[in-house]
Amino acid sequence: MSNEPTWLHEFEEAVPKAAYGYAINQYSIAYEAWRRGLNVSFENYYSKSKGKHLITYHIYDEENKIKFRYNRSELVSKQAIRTTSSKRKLMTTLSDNGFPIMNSASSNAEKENPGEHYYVYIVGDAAIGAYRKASPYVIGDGEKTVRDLIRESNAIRKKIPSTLNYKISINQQTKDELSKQNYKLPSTPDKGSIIKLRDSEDKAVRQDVIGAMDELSDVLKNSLVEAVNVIPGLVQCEVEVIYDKNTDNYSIVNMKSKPGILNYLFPIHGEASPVPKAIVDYCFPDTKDKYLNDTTFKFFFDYENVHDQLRNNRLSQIVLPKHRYEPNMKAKVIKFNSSIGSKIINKIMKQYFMKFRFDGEVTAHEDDLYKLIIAGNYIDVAFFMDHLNEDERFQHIDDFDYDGGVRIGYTFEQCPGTAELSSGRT
Amino acid sequence: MQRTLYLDVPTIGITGSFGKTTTKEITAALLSVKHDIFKSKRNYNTVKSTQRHIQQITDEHEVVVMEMTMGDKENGRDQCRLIQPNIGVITSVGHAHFGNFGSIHDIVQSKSEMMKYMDPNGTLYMSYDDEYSQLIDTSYFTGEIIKVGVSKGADYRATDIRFNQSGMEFYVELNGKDEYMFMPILGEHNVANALFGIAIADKLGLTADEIRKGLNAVKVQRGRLTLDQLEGNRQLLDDSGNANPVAMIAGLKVLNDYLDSPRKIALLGDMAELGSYAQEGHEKVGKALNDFNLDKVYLYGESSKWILKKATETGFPEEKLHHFGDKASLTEAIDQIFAPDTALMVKASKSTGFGKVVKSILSKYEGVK
Repeated sequence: MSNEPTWLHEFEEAVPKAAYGYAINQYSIAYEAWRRGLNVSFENYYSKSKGKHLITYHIYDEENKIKFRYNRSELVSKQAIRTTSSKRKLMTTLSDNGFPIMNSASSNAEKENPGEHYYVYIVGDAAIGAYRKASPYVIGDGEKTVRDLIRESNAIRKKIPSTLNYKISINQQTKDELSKQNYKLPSTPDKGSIIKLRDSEDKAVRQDVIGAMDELSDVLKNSLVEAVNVIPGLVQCEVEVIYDKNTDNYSIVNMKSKPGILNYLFPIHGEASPVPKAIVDYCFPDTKDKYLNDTTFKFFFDYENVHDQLRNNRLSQIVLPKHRYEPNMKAKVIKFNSSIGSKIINKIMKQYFMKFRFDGEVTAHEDDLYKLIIAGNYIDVAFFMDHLNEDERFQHIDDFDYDGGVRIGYTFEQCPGTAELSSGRT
Repeated sequence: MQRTLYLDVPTIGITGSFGKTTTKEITAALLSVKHDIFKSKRNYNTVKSTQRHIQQITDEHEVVVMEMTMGDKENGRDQCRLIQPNIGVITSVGHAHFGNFGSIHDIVQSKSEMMKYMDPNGTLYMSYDDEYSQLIDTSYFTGEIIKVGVSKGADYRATDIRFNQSGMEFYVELNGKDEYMFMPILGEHNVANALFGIAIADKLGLTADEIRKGLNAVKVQRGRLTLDQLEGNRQLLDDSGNANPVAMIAGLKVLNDYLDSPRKIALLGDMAELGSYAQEGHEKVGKALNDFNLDKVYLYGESSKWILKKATETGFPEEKLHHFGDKASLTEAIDQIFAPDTALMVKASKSTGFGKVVKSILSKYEGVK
């Protein structure tokens, strides 16, 4: 056991800020499809009830075109949506088909159904992922102090692409909870010991997400798949269940046809579940395991722009360019200083990007420092590097090979704290 | 999208403005002496053809020889995205398919795509003679470059090129020794094409004897400068499969220099896909006619009027030139002119439809030779 969760590598450095929070639902599915070479278009629609424009999207190839809203495809039947949105109807259907359900009307519901709450994502005939919730905790490694373990955990929490702040602040509540366990902030807990940071009985405390697929038996997984299958057309959904690991007994609490996906992708402990993969596999089985970015870079698209243009109704549809896929790609991070001003740098770099079909971005930092991420054909990259080195307008050029995320197209950004596009020093 | 096929056997991709199909056929013939090979069919060289071809490659194949057109911008990338050659060949850079490009520099860029997208540690074969091939900037290519040609300085060079009645004879230096070669196809330009195959075969370890054996077995498709000895000592030089100015002049050179016949006639048709180069390309042929001693030149098609005009302007005897606007009168005239003891060369783009003219001639004279 460690404090480091196992997340899906494809999302590392490939989730733009605009896809944080609820937007991750559509971004993660669209991204999964896009990197298999499928076409993706985003459209907006006006929601009268919400009084704003929302985004829907299509994933398509030459044969199929499937519409999605959040992470739900149109393959989920309307009847299934109606059934799952009425809890009474859902529970009756499940009960009539012999599945154990939690009797929420009973005042002793929790006692009658011992076990823990789990959330299980089902796609087609398989349970794809699961998580449970728990009060925030860290795990000792026999070396670090509680304070360091909390810092380490906060560094991970910061990486979760969420608009919420998952950070654990060290306050009196923390100290009280530690004291209950005979720990102080400078204590060094034994390896593997679990140190609770909040009172688990306190309902006001936000719970952490723990990847829990390995805690479920195959019997339970199969039973849940069967339960989902009694609702015609419910090809993907989340089942909330109370499950007793010791007895394998369970009661279904709810099913959602449009659950949030973030918790499956970014648990704070344990393993992430490949829900987007399973959904796209189900919708486009021929593309299973055929990823274009296995041999290219982790290209990601500018979701911020998609989001901005559609939500503000400046455009009604955006079609993504095809995921770049070709042999002999090379990516570099290049840093240099230049006093000619960011306006001219932007112009020059844009010309290079267009001429050589580079993808990536240029960021202007303080003190005339510029940082480039470029990806292109290795011959073009070498040619570009030579030109840069020969051009006296650029100094202190430093470069290294790069295998992180690359934003497609050309983007120029001023880092916070730097002046707007400037015209250089006189 | 289909994923790229990276093979660990020699995977040869052949591109260029002209000579692709012949080079492919020669290379395949040489390598098949020693290996089980897969070669792309006929002159099927588009991205779609490549897509179909790679479905047929199996583990049994020890060498793959593919013709790959890079005639349109970014075709090369699309080709190498399907299967990445570890041996690349750029036969030539010229005005064939010029209609798809804006300038010769666009063509250079287009053919350079072989270099950009083939295995960076592979070997790229290029022409040492071809003027425009020198415009390809190879300085950033990380693999090996081998240049072939008839000019001094080429890594593989053909010398002492001669024609005999059934093909071309020449010498190539292999492992420090001048080796005699013969191939049963015509034209100095085809010797240059053969050099690509010889160089690749040598690099892949074939002996001079094996190369000779392979060259002897080379067969080219009808319509690609094939020679038929027909009834009444008639000779038909059929080059009706494809045309561009360089290849047309090369064909005329074969008719003029190598065929032993008392009477020599050229039937030249329109060259298609030259785009903005169409007039200049046809005029180039018109001017070149003065370099040859031909008895008659028959021309057919709208664009061939430029050949007529330029030839007349530059002093080619007007009485030897005949232009035809319709095929019926052309066929009639050919029937009359193609008398015994005559050599006739037929050359045009495939779309001009000279295939039918050739068929008609063969049906009449293919009997006793």
